[in-house]
Amino acid sequence: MKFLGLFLGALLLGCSQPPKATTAARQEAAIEANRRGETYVRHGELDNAARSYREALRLSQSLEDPEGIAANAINLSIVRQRQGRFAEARASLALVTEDALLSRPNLRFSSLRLTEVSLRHALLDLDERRFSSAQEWLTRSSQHCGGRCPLSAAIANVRAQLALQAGRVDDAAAAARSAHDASRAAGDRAELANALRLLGIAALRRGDFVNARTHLEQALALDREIGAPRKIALDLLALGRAAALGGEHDAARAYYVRALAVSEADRDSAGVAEARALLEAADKAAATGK
Amino acid sequence: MNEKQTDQTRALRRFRGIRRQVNAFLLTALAGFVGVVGLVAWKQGMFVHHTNIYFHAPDATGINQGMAVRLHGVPVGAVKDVAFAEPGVRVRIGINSDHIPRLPRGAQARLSREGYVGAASIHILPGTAATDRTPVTEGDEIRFVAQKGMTDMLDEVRQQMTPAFQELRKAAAEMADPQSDFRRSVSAMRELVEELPAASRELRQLMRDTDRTMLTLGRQAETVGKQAEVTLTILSRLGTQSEEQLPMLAGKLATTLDSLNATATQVRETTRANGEALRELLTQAPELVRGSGELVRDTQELTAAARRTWLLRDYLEPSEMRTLPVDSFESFGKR
Repeated sequence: MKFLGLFLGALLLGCSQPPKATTAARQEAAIEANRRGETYVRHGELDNAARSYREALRLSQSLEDPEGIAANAINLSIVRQRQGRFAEARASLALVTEDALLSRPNLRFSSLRLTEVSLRHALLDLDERRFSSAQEWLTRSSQHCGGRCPLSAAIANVRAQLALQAGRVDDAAAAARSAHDASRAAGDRAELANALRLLGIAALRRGDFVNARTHLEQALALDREIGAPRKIALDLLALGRAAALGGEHDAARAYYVRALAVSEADRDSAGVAEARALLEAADKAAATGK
Repeated sequence: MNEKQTDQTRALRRFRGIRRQVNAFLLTALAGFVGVVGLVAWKQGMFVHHTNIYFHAPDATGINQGMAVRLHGVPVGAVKDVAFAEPGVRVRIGINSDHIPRLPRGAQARLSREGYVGAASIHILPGTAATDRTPVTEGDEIRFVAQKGMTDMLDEVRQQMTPAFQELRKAAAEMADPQSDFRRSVSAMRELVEELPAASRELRQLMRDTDRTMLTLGRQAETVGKQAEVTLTILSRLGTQSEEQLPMLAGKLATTLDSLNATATQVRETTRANGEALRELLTQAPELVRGSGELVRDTQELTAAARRTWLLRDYLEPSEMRTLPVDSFESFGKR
């Protein structure tokens, strides 16, 4: 057995010759950098993730691979947005817009990629509270998407959020319902949970706390299945508000305490601050009531 | 005459209705034949509506007309036609229209076998969320992922493993060479480690000497103080005796100064020895770091090469670019 191993090793060494630098090897290096970026995102190491996606983007650009360029530009923009570096997030997306295609007609991005990029622009604008620009990008995204595409539910959910920002609660509920149907048809549980949360928040704004609780509890169950702590905290906070609106102050307090624990465990400082503020407000209200 | 008539009558009676019986037999046989043909046609899916889609392959080796097309292992159609196209061949596959909603435009076809020696079939890979998810329609084209042959795989293994083995061979040769940086680093490190106990012993000795010197100095200072006191008190009376005492005091002071000088020299020597050892260590450190870096890179290349070999590749996830999911609530919590 030992001699056989030695023989095979010698055979392999004998067969050796200098490797050729092939396109496939470069493509694999790009894919590897892309996968590394994904792993870093999963572990919350955003600096390393950005570095890996930049490398994957550079390799894809060197191969003029439109799919690789689009995928890594979008990923880099997501990471930059999470880091709060919006200008860099936009710069990354600029590689995959119609304007960019004018200067590089050899690249052809699929309509789905253009939909995704427009939607990401809308999300960046929403994050920076540039609502009119967000609306424009959302319209572009819908045009690229056509009647129905895998991102229909996400587009409708962003439309619902914009309507909520503008105080158009009925429009928000209608858009969230459309997102609900689209995500259910596509089996997209994350967007289904988002749609249910938006339906709950819209019901809460209308003062319909019974419906709000029903939708929010469904959203919470889904978010727990998916394992999205930030959204679990959002659901719990909204459920707390619904309970408070229904006069159940103890239940509201319990929801806020749960939201606080989830946000603390997730190291989400914004979530912790919001939960603490609501908890203090609930305690004050209880003290005044007594 | 009478007998002849009787025979004829018997014969006529015997064949009476024979035409009807033959017709019934033939009709039954025909019905049976049609039934069998219908059953075979039904089993072959002749009454099922098929949607034709196409893919291009560099060559048609292993692809035959009538070959099964599978989706998640379930037969969903068959290869209908293989025609020449530039370059390679264009393959027409008929998919049962009931399964079309499960077949997105971003799907890929792949020629595969059940195990390494089993029957070949066309497998449809439905693609990922990032690819076009709208269902295929009549006449659409999907991508074909070429299956590599045994020779290609061996060739690929050889190509992938070559740089790793070369690096390994280079690293092994460097480790074996007594004049190599690595070996010199290790030798220097070993010498340094061997010198450390001696240096530490010297340091301890120095500390003991210093301690002793300080005690001597203290004692001598005390003596000098006492003597000075005595001298001062009797100075007025022992003017002549002071001339005898002074040389003795001067001698003791010289001894003390000599002792202090020796201690300082020893301290300087030890410091220099330690400094040289430290400088040697710092000189070797970059080499060691570089060696470790090369070792890590070699290991990474070996792992990457092993992952790409056909023995392991099938057990790893398929290589494709991935996109993080677009979440419509990406920024909601911040507002």
